[in-house]
Amino acid sequence: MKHLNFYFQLHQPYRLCPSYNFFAMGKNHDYFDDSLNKMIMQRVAQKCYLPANDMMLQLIKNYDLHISFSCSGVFLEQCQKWSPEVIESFNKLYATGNVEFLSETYYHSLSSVFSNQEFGEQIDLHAKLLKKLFNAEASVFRNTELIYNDIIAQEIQKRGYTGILTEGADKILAWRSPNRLYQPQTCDNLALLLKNYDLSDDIAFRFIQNGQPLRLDDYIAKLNNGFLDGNLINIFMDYETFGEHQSKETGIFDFFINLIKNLQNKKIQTLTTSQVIKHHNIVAKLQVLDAISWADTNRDLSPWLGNSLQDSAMRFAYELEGAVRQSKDKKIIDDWRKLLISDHFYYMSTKDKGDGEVHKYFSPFSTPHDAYVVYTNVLNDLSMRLEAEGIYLPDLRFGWSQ
Amino acid sequence: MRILMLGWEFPPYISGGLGTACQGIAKGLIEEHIAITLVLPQVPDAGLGGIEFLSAEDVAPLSVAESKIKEKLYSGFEDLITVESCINPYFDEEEYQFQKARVMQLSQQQQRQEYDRGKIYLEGQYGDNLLAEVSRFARVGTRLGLRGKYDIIYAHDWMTMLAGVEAANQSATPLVLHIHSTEYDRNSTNPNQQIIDIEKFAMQKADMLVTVSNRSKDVLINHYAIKPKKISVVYNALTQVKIDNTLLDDSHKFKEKLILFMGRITEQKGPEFFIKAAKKVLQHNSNLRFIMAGCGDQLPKMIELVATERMERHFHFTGFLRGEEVHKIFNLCDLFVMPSVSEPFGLVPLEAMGYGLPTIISKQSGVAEILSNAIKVDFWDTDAISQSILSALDNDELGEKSADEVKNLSWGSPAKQLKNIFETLVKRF
Repeated sequence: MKHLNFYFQLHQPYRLCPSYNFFAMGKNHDYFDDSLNKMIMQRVAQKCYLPANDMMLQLIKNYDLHISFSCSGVFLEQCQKWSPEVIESFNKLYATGNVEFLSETYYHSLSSVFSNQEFGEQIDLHAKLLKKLFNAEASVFRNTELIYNDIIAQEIQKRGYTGILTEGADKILAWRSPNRLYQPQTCDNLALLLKNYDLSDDIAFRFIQNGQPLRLDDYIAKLNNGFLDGNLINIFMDYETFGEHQSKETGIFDFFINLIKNLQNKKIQTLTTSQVIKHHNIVAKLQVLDAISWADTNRDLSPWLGNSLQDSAMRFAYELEGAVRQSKDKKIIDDWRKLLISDHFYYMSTKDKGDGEVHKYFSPFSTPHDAYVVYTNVLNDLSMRLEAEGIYLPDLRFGWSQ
Repeated sequence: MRILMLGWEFPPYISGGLGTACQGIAKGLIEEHIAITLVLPQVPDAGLGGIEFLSAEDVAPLSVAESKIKEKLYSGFEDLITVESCINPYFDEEEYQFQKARVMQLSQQQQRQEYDRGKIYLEGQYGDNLLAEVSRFARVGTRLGLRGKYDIIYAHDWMTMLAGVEAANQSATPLVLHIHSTEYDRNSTNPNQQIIDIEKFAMQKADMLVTVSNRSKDVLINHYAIKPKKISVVYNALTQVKIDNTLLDDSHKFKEKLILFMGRITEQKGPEFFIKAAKKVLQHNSNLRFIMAGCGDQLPKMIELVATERMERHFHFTGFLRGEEVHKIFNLCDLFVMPSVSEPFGLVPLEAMGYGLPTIISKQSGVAEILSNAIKVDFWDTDAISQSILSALDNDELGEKSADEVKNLSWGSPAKQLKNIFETLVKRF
């Protein structure tokens, strides 16, 4: 039997107020643009989350579709606040038994790269939220933006997960196919699932080509071609593909419905991620030393750490970790963690051409430099709040304060 | 005496010192009982009592006989610059290319508007199409010269120079050019030849040139081949503001002392020397914050430099500040630095000193010629700048001395000098 594994990502950041300027520092501690965040959450709920969930529910009932979701904690939080009906509709989906939730970092952060302790705590926070909202327990982990290397895999195995997801990047696969199940070089009890980026991006990014939507026949032919290399194809993408990145008018919903309808007579079955791990044998170990991700053409950390602005902002944030913990102040800890959301750094990217366009599409700032200035203003305000609580913040780069 | 004054910016719509200086000068001249018609691309809402304001579009088309119109002296430039372009004295090559495509369409639309109404509509400021606007402003000069009767045509900086030459030419009136800055000051590494040509042409046609410092006078002599006797130096002054501290809220909780750079963030103002000096200062005393206020084409580069140097905990960018915010920042800060590479005068240090801030200025600024309590350093000498910052912060008397030094400055004195220059010229004509 040939298997398709659909995993959809759901995430919305807490965007910062673009007007948080120098004069706000030391004065105003409301960093996040609630009205914008609410507006976007409600808009995407109407255009994507609700209609797409309806579609999935029908497909589960009619065609026994199996799918996996990974929802960031900050996404679920914002749903609870501004679109609780989205949580309800996920509950309905989960009740079918055909849906699996994956584990990730609550704050959609790069903590896996910078702080093992924070990484672990965010995973735990996320697990608690899944339990609370859906009474669900995840057994497979997907890291922020599919960021992955051998060390992260080892950490995830330690935490008892059975599988981990990442990008089927050319640079790690070389001649190998993504359409098989692998194992991280450093692990013995963890499966590694690789995104087939060609077949995923056909839907997510290239659905409309030269004004024409993707043809189902062409896609199925390509799928069949893919199954020549292995009997497992992992299709991973943002859930917002349905109705937000690709509007309803493009026919994206109908395309997906017809695709699922047609799978049965092609002898293709859909599975959730942990079912895949159960049904497939590991074919080989894969070594990944340098971190990879599913973003930009480079498939590495450069979308968040590709220039000096991002480096300065990210390091500043993680340098505050000890002081933030020391404060034991719930509001400060939560604000700090919201500032670790990967999107803040994504907006600071100065890449041009294709990748730059994508960064710009998502950013609420007019320039990456604006994003940096606002972000560092906010972190400086947070530092001042820590100092006000008597926590000493030496800047060791410039010697001890006098 | 009636003068026709041609300006480009005026408070509150200013991007630099030119508008502030024009306002101060105009105020001073009114007190000297000089009647002023001030023509600007756009007239500010607020205005200024005692002055007749005209915006370019309010200067109605001519109905005089063609024969009365003398040949345009600036027609050589008209051919050169009515080609639509987006040259801006504060753009670098990259920014210029970026703006180009967008501008083409926009300007055609504006030109059409203009022909439709017989009006000459100008945006003013330093927009996409500055050279074409400058040329259209010269046509406003033709209309003004043929219509009004003035004793002096008095133009400020290169944007208004062609209009000044044209108005003086059509009306056979003496022309005074007040040079607040030249292209060599604004863009020392990559000056725009078209702008230099306009400046050179107009300076030669002018009957008298006014510079804001001896330093600037030397630039005119050396770069524009102007005879020294045709140049008068008239220093700028300070518009005294009542510092009303009751308006301020003191809820800002900076425990550190704050060191301010304020100005256009362009090469001319030396922002990178401020950042490099800041780094050296922080190695001695990290209990400080540095603030860069303003915007300009170098801002992205400066932000990147601060990030590269990892100074994000000690260095802040405010963007362009206006009105109340300028007042606030001067009140919050403890020290002012102006490391300009080439500054014909430099008004901001006077304002900073007015707020009692110890002030460090570059020796390459005109204002250095008149200040004794400001610390003077070479713009490139970041060691000297950083040492001056550290010592000025320890000097308790410098702030008070600074405030004392500028508290009696007023535009009355430059206005008197200007009046003398005008009267001499009128007699000679």
